[in-house]
Amino acid sequence: MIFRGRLANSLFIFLVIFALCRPPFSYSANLFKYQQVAMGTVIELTLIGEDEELAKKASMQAFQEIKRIEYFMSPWVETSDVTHINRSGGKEGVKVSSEIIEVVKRAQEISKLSEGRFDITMGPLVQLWRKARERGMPPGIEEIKETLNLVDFRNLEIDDRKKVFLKKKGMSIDLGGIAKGYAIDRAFDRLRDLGHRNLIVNAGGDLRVGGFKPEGPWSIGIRHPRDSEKIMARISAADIAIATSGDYQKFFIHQGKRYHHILNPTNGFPAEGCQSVTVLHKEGAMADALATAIFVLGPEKGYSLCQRLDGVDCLIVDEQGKVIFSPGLEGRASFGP
Amino acid sequence: MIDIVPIQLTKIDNLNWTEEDIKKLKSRTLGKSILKPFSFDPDVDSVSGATITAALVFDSLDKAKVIFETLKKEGYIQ
Repeated sequence: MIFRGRLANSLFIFLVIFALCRPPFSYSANLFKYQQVAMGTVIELTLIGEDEELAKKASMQAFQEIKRIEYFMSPWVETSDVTHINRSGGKEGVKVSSEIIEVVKRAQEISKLSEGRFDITMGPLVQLWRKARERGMPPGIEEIKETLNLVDFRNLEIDDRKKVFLKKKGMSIDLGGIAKGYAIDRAFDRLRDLGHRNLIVNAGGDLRVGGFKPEGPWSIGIRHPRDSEKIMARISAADIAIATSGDYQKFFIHQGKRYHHILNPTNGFPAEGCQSVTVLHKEGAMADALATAIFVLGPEKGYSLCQRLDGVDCLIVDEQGKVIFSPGLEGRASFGP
Repeated sequence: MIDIVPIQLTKIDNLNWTEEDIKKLKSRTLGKSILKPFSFDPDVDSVSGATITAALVFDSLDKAKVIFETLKKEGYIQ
């Protein structure tokens, strides 16, 4: 009897906690999905709401927010802050928006934590490999060595007057490893401000999840790194950002060897040891940058970094296809087709 | 759904879909009613990792019901 009473009490407490944690749903709540192309990828918004017109209007504002961020963070836009910083390398510091300062500071933080495996000053190296991918042949060793002289996050300075300075001429920053994560954070905040509590903002596979769906937590699929149309794992998620870096996203094969786009800033070559790394963190920008950093560090050192940081979980697929995941995913991740 | 004809479908790194890929997509879509929900993976609400083309195709098919209902409402379909 005592046991039964305790069980009933525990069940009651659990149900009360569950009811308090889950936002209330009206019976008329619907799930709406919207897609647009931005930041060179597909942006997908999933919203739960009662009014389709309001959901649509909110989604348009979120898409606009992502496009605004793309505009000032893109190295391809003549007037963007990033273009100004890159053009002034070795000459002078450039006054930029507080948002750029915030992103650059986050990036520098991850660079230090990963001992330079994540580095936004990789612009010249990214350019070199982009050209290599176009001709389907890796660059020469000497060319890589020369380019590496221009890559070092310690040669990027931020001063108190919101100025960013690249110390060497020819240096350039590339925010590709963090911008999408930052954009999903801002779009997510915009939707929250508009009253949406239960939602997903997904920018080409980097996503941020808020609240729940009516049936319970959201279920997020992790793409299989070697079968482009399959899901490898499912993660039960609420109020978290999830980002995945994979060697399958952009690559070319030369003489039987795969050369992918995630570069190791310490040797100038595509990072080895992982097929895919998924990171969970409360913020998209951090999840995005950490996924790249852990991928470059490789399975052992990467997992060790993940374990050292508070509020970070990771799922790593190593080069043999073996899956390693942090204890925080125990019971929340399921595998198989 | 009586047929699905890919005009241009690419996968990761802009590789074209193979005959096998198209066959798989057809096996999951043909013969189904557009009035019922289409889902790439009913157990998943969103995907982390590069965008899966098939998931986008399924999302688009899922919008066919709304288009059908709009056309019906406006008298284009009896």
